Amino acid sequence: MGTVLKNEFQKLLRYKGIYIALIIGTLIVLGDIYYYYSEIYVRFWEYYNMGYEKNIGMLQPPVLMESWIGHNLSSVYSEMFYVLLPFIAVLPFGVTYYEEIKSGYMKNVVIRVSRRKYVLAKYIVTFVSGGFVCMFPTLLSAWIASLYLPNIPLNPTAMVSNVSNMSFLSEIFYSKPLLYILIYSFIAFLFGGIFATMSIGISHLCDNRFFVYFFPFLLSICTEYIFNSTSLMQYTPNIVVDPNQRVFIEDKHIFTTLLVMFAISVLSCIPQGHKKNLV
Amino acid sequence: MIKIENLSKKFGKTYVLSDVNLEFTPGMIYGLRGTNGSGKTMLLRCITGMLKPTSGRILIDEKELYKDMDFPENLGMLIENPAFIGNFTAYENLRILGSYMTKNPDEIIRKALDVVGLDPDDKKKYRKFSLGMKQKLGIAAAIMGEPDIIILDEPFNALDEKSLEKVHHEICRLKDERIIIVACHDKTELDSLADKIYIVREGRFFDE
Amino acid sequence: MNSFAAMLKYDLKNGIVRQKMVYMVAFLLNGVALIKFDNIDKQLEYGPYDCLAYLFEGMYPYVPNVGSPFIVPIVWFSVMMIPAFLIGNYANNDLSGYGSHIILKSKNKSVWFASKVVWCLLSVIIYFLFLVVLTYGFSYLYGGKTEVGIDKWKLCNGFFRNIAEKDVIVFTVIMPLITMITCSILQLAISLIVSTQAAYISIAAFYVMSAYFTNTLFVGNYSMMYKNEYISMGSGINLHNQCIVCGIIILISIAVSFVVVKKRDIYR
Repeated sequence: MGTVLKNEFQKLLRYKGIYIALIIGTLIVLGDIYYYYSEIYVRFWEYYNMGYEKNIGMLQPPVLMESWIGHNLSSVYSEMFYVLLPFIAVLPFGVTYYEEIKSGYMKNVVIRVSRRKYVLAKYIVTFVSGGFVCMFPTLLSAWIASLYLPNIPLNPTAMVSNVSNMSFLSEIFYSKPLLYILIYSFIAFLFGGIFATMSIGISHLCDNRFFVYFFPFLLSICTEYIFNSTSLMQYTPNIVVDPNQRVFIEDKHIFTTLLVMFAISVLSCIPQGHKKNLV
Repeated sequence: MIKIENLSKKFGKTYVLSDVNLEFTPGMIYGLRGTNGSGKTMLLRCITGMLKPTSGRILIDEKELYKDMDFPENLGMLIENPAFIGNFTAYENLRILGSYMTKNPDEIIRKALDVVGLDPDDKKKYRKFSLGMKQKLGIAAAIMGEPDIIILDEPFNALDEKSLEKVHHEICRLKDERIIIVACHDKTELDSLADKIYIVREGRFFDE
Repeated sequence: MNSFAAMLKYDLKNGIVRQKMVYMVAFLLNGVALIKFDNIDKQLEYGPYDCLAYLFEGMYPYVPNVGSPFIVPIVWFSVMMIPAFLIGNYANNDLSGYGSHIILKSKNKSVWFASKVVWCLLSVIIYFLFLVVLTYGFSYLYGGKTEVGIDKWKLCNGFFRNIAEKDVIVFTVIMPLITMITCSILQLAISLIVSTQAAYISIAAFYVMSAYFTNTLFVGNYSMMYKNEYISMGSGINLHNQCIVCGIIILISIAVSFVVVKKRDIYR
């Protein structure tokens, strides 16, 4: 199993998909940082320097959490990142299983190593790579923001956040913002990994490489579309992964959504590991 | 030894293999010759574990394929177009496959590449290979590590004369204690290589 | 001319008729949206144009404000993104597949390219027709009206100005259709120049930007009812610019992609 995993990781590093995904994530983060700096940070200090320092107590001074891509509420880049997250997750390694089946390469592998091991290794590497490229921009955004902004919790009375005292992790949000960032980065990792592995499940069912790439994206749009304005809205992956918590989220929503999606991605991959015609 | 008993394969209403009974013993090169669509590749797919037959069975060293095992142990094959990873060189591609066979596959890889006339140190990526080079790499992957069963389907396509001779020589050298099955529609080539030839016609196999 | 007709016939069959899966998804998604629209106020009657107005309502011009989050209007976004699936990687696949035979036989890449542009246009028009038929069917079965008018939509959104019938057709049919055609041709161009994935992600990003920025150049704005200057009481976008902007984008896309296709190796 170790050899199979090692080979798959080697393949991952040679595919340009992972680098393209990281570049896209980085560009979005840089855009977001630029937006925050030019629209919010600079304006705050302009206002301050105009002599309104007496009124500053009513405003939210620039802090790390406000600038973070997961919480930059008014930024188009922040929304774009979470809309495109399912697609970014698939870029590194999501389509290689499909390509190896269609090209016939898989036959060369399965006569030498068990098909279950091969599919499991594919699943692990796809999960890790998909999760990594989704987590990386969130951590990068926090790191860049920390270079010039203090890590002070947001002022709850400034009303600059959707996170209320009943929301998921609200205590951590208003006391340890860095921890909140880390937790939601990990949630992004998990969802990114799950989205990426859904492309493995769909590989045997379709004949179109394009569809394998965009299936997780299509799935996320469909679920948000269908669950929008219903009682299931809080179980939409796009809503659950978003640290903005634009609807009221509890821990049960996150865990249930994660569990269901993980079950779907694993169950759709299990038949791939079983013996069936390879032609 | 490979024993095929009453093997049939049906797609829809069409039988692509009909009641095949064959035996392959080590130490011989077996040739399968027939027109396009006669069933040569279908049989090879069944023997390699790629295609489950509709009825009948395949015994390899008394173990039944698709029942006691999913794939023959120690098999090398080239069926249809060779397929490898485009971003890797010839050596790197074989290193991945060789790593599943042994911890240090360097020696067997170099030997296999040398037989087919490919340079192990060439940095050219597989996606830039010509058709002949791809075919050579496919053969190298099949014979790498000298497996007990070697299945080659139209291996001589697109090979130059020098490589053809080397591959021919290597197959003859390997036949001791191994089962080698070669499917080819070229009569001359097969006659000079195979010890025993089966003619394939509409899914049925006949002694020449 | 014969080659063009043959190519177009092939494209219509393989590029449109075979896209059943995409139409099923479109049917499912839009059907769900229309059910939700129906549930908003079951007492009110509505017609197909109410349904279209709902599907294309989008969002009001967004004013960046840290207290007010920006959220992409998912209904509008999904309806606009489905043609992107129809366009997909068909052109690229065809260029290195059957299309290469056509190019050899006709000795002319222009024929292939022209066929692809027409196919792209027809794909979007057929999808839109499908949408219109769906809304007609829905409103006939559940809405109670088939006339031109958006009374229910206006009531649900607290909008009381009169809108002439021809304006209703322009706002709910013509403008979204032109926007879809523009973006599809742009997507086709990017897919031929760069890659299918780059094209798709560009169009998705373009629509997100259109939702965020109320700007003439982001043509997605023209397809949103809420960003219509007439509906948003002056803070929206001037609709008269649509033809000019979309026309320029279409011309530039076709011109640049034509040049690239002419120079491009068929077998990459």
